[in-house]
Amino acid sequence: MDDKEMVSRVAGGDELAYRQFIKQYERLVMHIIIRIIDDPNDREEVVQDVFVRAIDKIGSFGFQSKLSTWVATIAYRHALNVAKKNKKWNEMQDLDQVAFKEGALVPGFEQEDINRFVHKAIDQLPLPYRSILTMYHLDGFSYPEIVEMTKMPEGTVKNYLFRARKKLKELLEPFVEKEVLLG
Amino acid sequence: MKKQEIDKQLAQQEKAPAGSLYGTIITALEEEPMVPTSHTLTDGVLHKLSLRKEQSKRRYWLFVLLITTSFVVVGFGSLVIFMGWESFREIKDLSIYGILIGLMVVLIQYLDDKLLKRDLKFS
Repeated sequence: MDDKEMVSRVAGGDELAYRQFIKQYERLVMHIIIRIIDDPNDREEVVQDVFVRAIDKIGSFGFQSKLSTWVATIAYRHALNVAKKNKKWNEMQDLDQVAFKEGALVPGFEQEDINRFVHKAIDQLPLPYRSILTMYHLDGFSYPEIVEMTKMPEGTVKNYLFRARKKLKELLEPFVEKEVLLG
Repeated sequence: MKKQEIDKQLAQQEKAPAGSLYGTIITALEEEPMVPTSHTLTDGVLHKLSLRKEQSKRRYWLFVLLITTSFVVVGFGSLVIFMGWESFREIKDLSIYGILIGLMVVLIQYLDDKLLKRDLKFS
């Protein structure tokens, strides 16, 4: 089923299309939600609400962007609103002032441990940095798509991406020996 | 930092060899984190959608009921004004109508509460 057919079937109230739509975008929505909503107990509720909103509004989707970008935008904005309501959002938080809980982050020296370590470290970055890293690297969105989703200027998106990666490097450096990484 | 400078720095980070720190970080970033899979997500969404449909239907009927009640009250009031109260001699006490309207409001609220409780029970 292509995007056009899916949109028209979902807008028409086809339950099978609903199921396929949810299945297709579940992981994308979850990637965005887990970076913004800290409490795992709240996440499923937020994901459900994102899909309810998306299905409700899908009739107004005009294909100006990819369907995935549109769904991700709804997920990002809804999650931000929930985070703001729960007072877990601090847009002005300075990356340089972030103090990592190193004790909780000490990695093992296996590659998969390093991956886990990096993901734990991401969770301690300010929200916009986390979201941009995930959108760019994990979901493969382009800069213009991230700009559309976050409403941030392209320069800010790039700056956040650069600084977040740099911060992760600074964090990882003391713990991981170069030869271990190479091995 | 200037735009060209940021672009250059970003490109440098991305071109870092696989064994370097940046290379390792970028590999880790492209790895999917532990995403909890939910077996109830689709059913939960479908249930919420049906609940919304039911709520909007309920709101519609409540609206219809309120409009009808208003028309009855306004209609009766107009008849009283134009025909005079004497035409309604058999209706001795206006308070009876007051009580009837009051009962109707209580009934609407009761039905609304009952439906609301049922919604909460399902959600």
